[in-house]
Parts: sequence; structure tokens; C-alpha cells
Amino acid sequence: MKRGQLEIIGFMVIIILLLFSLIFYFKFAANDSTDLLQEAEENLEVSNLLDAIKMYTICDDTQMSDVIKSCVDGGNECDEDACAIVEREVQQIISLNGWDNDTYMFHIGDILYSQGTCKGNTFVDDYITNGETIKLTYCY
Amino acid sequence: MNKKAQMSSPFSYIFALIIGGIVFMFLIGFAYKFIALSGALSAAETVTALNDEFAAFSVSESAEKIINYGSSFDFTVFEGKITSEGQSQVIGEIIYAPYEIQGKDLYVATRSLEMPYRVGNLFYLSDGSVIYILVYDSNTEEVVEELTDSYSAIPSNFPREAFSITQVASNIEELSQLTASYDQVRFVFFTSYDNVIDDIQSNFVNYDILKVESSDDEYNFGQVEYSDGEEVVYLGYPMLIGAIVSFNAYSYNYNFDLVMGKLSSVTNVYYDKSKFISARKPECDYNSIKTTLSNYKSLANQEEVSYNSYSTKIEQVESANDGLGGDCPEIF
Amino acid sequence: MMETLMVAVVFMVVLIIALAFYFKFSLDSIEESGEEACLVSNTVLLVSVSSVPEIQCSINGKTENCIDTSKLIVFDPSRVYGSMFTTNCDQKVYFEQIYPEPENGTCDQNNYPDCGIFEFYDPDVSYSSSIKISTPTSLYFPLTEEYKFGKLVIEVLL
Repeated sequence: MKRGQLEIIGFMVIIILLLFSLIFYFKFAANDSTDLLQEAEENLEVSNLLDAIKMYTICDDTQMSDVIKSCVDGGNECDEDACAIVEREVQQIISLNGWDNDTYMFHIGDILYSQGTCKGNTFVDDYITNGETIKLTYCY
Repeated sequence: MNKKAQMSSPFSYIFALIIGGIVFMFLIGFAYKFIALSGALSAAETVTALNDEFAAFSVSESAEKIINYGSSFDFTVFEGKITSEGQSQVIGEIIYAPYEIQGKDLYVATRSLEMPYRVGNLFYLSDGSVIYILVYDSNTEEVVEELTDSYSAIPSNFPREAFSITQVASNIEELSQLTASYDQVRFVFFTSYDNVIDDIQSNFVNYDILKVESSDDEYNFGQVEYSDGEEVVYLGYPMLIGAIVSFNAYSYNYNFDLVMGKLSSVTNVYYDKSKFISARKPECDYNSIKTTLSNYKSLANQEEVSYNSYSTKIEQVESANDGLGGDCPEIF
Repeated sequence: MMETLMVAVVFMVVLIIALAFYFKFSLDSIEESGEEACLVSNTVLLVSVSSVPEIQCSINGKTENCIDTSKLIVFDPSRVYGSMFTTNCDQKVYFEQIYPEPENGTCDQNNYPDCGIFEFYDPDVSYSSSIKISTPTSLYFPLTEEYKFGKLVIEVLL
């Protein structure tokens, strides 16, 4: 073959090698959007879980939000100490939701009504009743 | 030429030109097709993202947002479809908007529609190029105030102003300057405009006029007349806002039919619920609520109905529901 | 001349092979975007299904952030909400009572409320695998005026 033709073939080989390397680069480049989706789902979960806990019926005409209010005032509901009900039922509901004890915290004001504390990145939702902030924190 | 069968130089050049030309045309054609595909993909992503935004928005009773995608957008909203660069997607939501929306910022708002129970959310779109001028008199001042400064007001991110008919009549030139930067001015009169129509015609270039009429003091129900003389019925402030924002009577009525479809579906559910509950609670009297819901459902399926008929049926349904309670659960 | 022709042929063959690989890569990329769009749409559904007026609680004329199970029992969404569920991919949607622990079984008008699963939407298509995403929700039982803890489950069918 003539020298010029050899050079053209060599040039084509280089182009093809560059093309393949670009393809492999884009294929394995990091994709952040799936992480954002996961975070959005977890954020929604915290918010919906707190709403569901608030509305849960403990006994006749008494919802968890009423029990939490009574707990703030140090009273009873459904013939039982309100704070004991909060501690038991909140743990039960969250456990059935699939969260481990060391991944969340439930506070009424500054008082913790869950089994353990957790650290790290958090998603939080809260609301205020009787002047106290009721807060659910999820750690991940 | 030295050898037999060897082409002479001119023929070699011609041959190279032909081959080169074919390869060049192939590459150019590929580039054009690639550009078209990229455009189509980008447009498909835009309409899909918009669809997801609406779905996420639908949980709010009242919300407003400005969406900026970083680049200009240009799409049309017609018959429940958003179309961008040939890519269109049917949006499952009820959207009131001008025909064409273009620009960098998209103004989106939603209001929950209750008739008397929640039927769904209505969505409003704007690109900020149309300004809405609400004109009132002493009888309708409170109505316009409600439409500009309350929970059920026209979205605050949509350009709008409110003036009395006296202000419009005496300050038409200032009004013209105030609205000069907008592509279109839409006047919404809650009073007669006979005294100012000549002034408007001489001072404004791109404008149209809507007339709102109602026999209800609070204008909760009524009708809107467009520039072309077409009249449409509205039931509640969210639908009135829809009529104000809609491109024309046809696009409003398309959404009106969707609202009636939703009303029929939700009313059907409450009717079935009342039958289900009444079977489980035979000691309770659910006949009244069942009858009124059945009549309301029939009304929603009729073609031409006056707004007063709706108003009456809604009151009857509410009254029947209020008659329940205690051991007999209300239906809604 | 033959040599020039051979060079041209080799060049075209190499170009076509390169383009074939490029189109394959583009196709994979588009398929990946489609799958991502499917996941995004279904995550959005997690939010929007609970606010469908046909099943959302309306108590004393006010909407509440819960699901009215008596409406869930009587409502068939496929007639009205078909487009909501067929944007990018198929999915099954159902509500599951978690606490208090319910009786087993899919709910209908006969066994309500002694059941655990309230089916909302099932496209009835064949699928090889599925991904489940869920979110907590409150289930309201109007006959006893009770709120129970449940989950909204979306099973994305692949």
C-alpha cells in the first residue's frame, strides 16, 4: 500500500478508538438523579408517617393527636397514662412501618418518646400542639 | 499514463469527488436526523416533567409556583394536550391556559374545586404576557376584592390589576401605559362597559373584553361572555378564574366538560357510598341523601344547564348531608 | 483505481460499524431514561393517588389527609383514571392495612372491614418482575369512625 493510504487507515483507527472511549466514559459516568428520587421518597415517608400517627384511633373517639395533647398536659386517655400510650403505640406503628429503633426519634418538646437516638443525615417533620413541638426525625 | 488500466488523473479526481460527496451527504443527513431526534427527546422530557409537576401539585388545595427550566420553552395547550415541537402528551389534569405559552418562566397555579365536596384541582398556566384588568362598580367591589386578595383569588403570580369603572373612565391613558409592556390586555368587567368601550378601543391595540354576570350577590355562580359573544357558565371562583385565563369559550367549555365528568364520577362514588352505608346501617335514613345525590348526578350529565340549577342542587345535597350525623355517619 | 476504491470501501465499513455502536449506545441511553422516567412518575403517583377526590376523606365537608375505605370499596378507577396509571409503565396500586393487624384477604363489599388489602388499580398484564414502593397512609372507616394505619403500595411491573 502507498504511504498516504496507510496514514489514512491509521487515522481512522485513532478516530474509532476515541469514539469507543467516549462511549465507555458516558456509560459509566455517575448518575445522581436516582439518589434524589430516593431522598424525595424518604422525605414523603416521614411526613406521611407523622400524619398517619396523629390520626390513628386509640379508643372510642380518641385519636393519637388527642393522646399527645393529654401527654403534654400530663393527663390520661382511654383509662391509661397518655404518655405511656404515646411511647408504646408510636413505637409499634413505626416498627410496623419497617424502621429500626436506631433510625428514628420521636420527640414531644425536648422529651424523647422513642427507644434510641440517632445521628447523621436526617429528614424531619413536625407540628405544634398545646405550645409543644411534636417532631419525628428519620436518620439515614 | 504509464500503465494499462490505470485511470488518468482527471478521472481520479472526479472519482474522489463523487465518493467524497456521497460520504459528505451521508454525514450531513445523519447530523440533521440527530438534531431532530435530540429536539424530540428534549420536548418529550419537557412535557413529561410538566405532567409530573401537575400530579405533584394536585395534592394542594391552593398553590402557586414559577417554573424555570433554564431555557426558553414554547408549547401549546389545547384540548387537554400539551404540545411542544411536535411532541404532545395528554395531561390528565384540567388546565386553563392561553393557547400558546412561551418564555423562560412558566407560572403555574392550582385551586381545589368544591361543589360542595372536593371534585378535584383546577390548574392555571401563564407565561406572564397577558395582564388581567378586573373592573368593578360599587355593587361588585367586594367580589373583585375577593378575586384579587383572598384564598380563592386569581393567582398572585399572574399579572392582574383591579380598578373601578370610574377609575378606568377617567384614567384610560395611564392604564394604557401601565399595560404597555404586556403582549395582551384582557379586561374582565363585573359591570357594564358601555361608557368606556370607545376609550378602550382607541387606547389599546391588543385587548379583549370579558363580561361577568350573575344573579348571585357574591358571584359564586354565573356566566362569562367572551369577546366573540360566546357565553359560558361557571360554578365557583376556581371556574371563574378558569374562564378569565382561558384562551376562548371553546377551550373553557372543553375543561367545563372535564369538570362535569369529574363531578359525575365523584358524585357517583358518594351515591354508592350512601347505598353501602345505608345497607350496613338500616336504622338510619339515607333516602334523602341518596335522592339528592342521584338528582345531582343526573344534572352533571346533562348538556345545557343553567347555573341556578346547579346552585339549587348543591344546596339540596349539602342540606341532606347535614341532616345526618351521630350514629348515622355523614356521607361527605 | 482499485486501491482508491478499496480505501473508500474500508472507510465506509469502518464508519458504519462505528455508527452502529453509537446507535446502540444511544438506544441504551434512551431506554435508561425511560426507566428513570417510569420511577419518577411512580414516585409522583405516591403523592397524587392519596389526593384523588374519589377516595380521599371528606368529613363534615372538609377534606382530610386520609383514605376513606368505604369510598375505596365502591370506586373503580379504571373507568376514570386510566390515563393516570399508564404514563410510562404499568403498575398495580393497592392500600394495605398494617395496624391494628387485619384479617387476611382482599377487601370487597361483603367482607369489609374484616380484610387487609384494598385493591385500587390492577392492569391485569403479565410481568416478569416488579419493584414495590410505598408510603404510610391513614385509613378511615366511617362506620366505626376509626382511623387505622396503612400503606399505599405501588408495584411497578417490569
